[in-house]
Amino acid sequence: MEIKASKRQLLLFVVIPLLPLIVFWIIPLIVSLWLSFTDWNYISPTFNYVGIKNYTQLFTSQEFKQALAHTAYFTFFSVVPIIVLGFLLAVGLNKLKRSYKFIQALLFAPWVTPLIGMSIVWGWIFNSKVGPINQILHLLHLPEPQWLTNPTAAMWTIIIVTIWKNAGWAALFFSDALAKIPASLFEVSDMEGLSWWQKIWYVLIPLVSPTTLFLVIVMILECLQAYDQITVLTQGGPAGSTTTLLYLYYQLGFKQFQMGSATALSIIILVISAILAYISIRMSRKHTYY
Amino acid sequence: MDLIELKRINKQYENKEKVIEDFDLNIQKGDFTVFLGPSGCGKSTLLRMIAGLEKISAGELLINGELQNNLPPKERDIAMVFQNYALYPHMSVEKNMGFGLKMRGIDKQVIKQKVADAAKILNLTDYLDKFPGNLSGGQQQRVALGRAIVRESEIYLMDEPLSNLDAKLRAVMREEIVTLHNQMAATTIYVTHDQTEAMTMADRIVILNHGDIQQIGSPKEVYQRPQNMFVASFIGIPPMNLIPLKNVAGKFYLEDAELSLKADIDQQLVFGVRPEDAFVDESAPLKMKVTYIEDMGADRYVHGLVNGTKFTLRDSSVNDYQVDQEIGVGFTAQQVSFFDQVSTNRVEDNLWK
Repeated sequence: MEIKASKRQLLLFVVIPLLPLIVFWIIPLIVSLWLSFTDWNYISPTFNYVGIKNYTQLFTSQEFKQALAHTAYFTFFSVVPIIVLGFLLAVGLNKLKRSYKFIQALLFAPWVTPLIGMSIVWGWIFNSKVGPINQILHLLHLPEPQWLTNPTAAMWTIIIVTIWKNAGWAALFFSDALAKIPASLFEVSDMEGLSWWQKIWYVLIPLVSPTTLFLVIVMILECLQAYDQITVLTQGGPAGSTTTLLYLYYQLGFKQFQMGSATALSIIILVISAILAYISIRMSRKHTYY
Repeated sequence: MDLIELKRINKQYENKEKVIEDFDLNIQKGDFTVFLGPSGCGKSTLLRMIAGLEKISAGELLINGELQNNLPPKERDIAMVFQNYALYPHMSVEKNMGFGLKMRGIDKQVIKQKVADAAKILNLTDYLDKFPGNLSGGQQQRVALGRAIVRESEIYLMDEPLSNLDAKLRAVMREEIVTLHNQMAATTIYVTHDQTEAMTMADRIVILNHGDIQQIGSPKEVYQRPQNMFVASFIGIPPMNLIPLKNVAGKFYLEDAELSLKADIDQQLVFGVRPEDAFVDESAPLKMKVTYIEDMGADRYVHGLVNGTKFTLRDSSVNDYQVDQEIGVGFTAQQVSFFDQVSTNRVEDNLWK
């Protein structure tokens, strides 16, 4: 039996699922692009077209360059430990004979807990006077950093919270990928006499590479979109030391009311995300095995 | 001299029943030994204990007279081929075959040469740059064989290597493996649940059930002289027909026909005959009701019931039989087996008076 749908029916089936995408993604994207060529201040009903002035201003501004550097630093030092820690946690997790489910739930908890709330808790933990971290460091007679007020330490505070949130989640993906490796591959490596680190290097890492790639892409995007922990813990400070591109966008748009510059920046973030995703996918063709 | 000696080998998993108990077997150099048995009979466990992938709970494993129990797999000079090929998907055929040698620190040029030689024997030369994902099942299994060959081990262990291949390819690979075994003058232990593989490839078949040896012998021996009812019903497609005999005060009856046998007055016997040793004989007193006819082309199997017991015979005549028809079944006296119903063991052949 053959069922032929009319053009109208077909259109109906395509448009309905497309609607949310159009309303919440495509239209805002077009509006942002349009706004990025104006000097709209977010409040007044009038605005002027300024051409690419918002972009040239951004590219030459110190603020933008700093935020770009912070973003790169933050992303690199978050993603690499997340991947490494996630992988090691997964190797450990898969060795467990008992409490597997419990540890799994424990690892998943940071991911499902709203980060906005957890950031407040981390704010207490990192409090340089009464926070438990510095109290422990004090007991051990180690230096006690001013976690939230020293520019270098503040960035690392944000990075630690980001790693804490994502490493367990990454571990669950790695754990699943590791569990899917056929046992016979390890038996072969036993017959060949591989040491444990050779097994990790020659068998585990190459065989989980599709998962690694997936996590790297998702984690880069996660870092580009990091907002909750920054706004709660440091508000981009001290002295702009934790202002990433996305946080700068927020400041430009909703604190300085330069919606034109802010939307220009959001377009730049979009382009950067697209380029990174493209590079990752290109790399995947060479270095992953399914 | 015996190359491999298994002495009172036991295997017991934590807090569970023994899988293998006091297993003894000697394997000579150059033998092609097949472990045959239904799934769960312990054949793979035995193989994996020889390989060193499973711990031996008790007993001794000797290779060349040296105790192996506590040696790690790589020090046992054994190459193994797995059922699912176990190739590394991220390595080319060449790298897969040479990986074991590389890990043993052998010179790159030597590895290249050995891999090239093995590839030539296995017709893989054109595939050396390919990845396992781009090969057919048969080619992948050849690569797995190649990886075993380049090691130039004395002993080759194969764990159901052909199970994942289709029937036609299995037949081709059976021949290739036996040829390879002869070329390498290797000692091979081959595990399978497929009796066709066992019958066609083995010098010696070890038939296992529940971790116990049921019979050891050449394919011909296990087929023609099954040592017990398990072997009789396990070997042969279709298997041997088994019918309990009635013992009336020392006289033995196969249904209504008396068989003149020399047996103890109170012995309970089971009569066994292979389908190809039985034939249609309308004058015979043994009657079978036909239930199903299986045409094999050259001949056919006529299945039926002898007084409720299933019975099959091979028939190559041009006669036509109908379902529900009653036919007489005859057999040659010298080609039947008798088993003791209690012990299930074979009773000496010449029972006929």
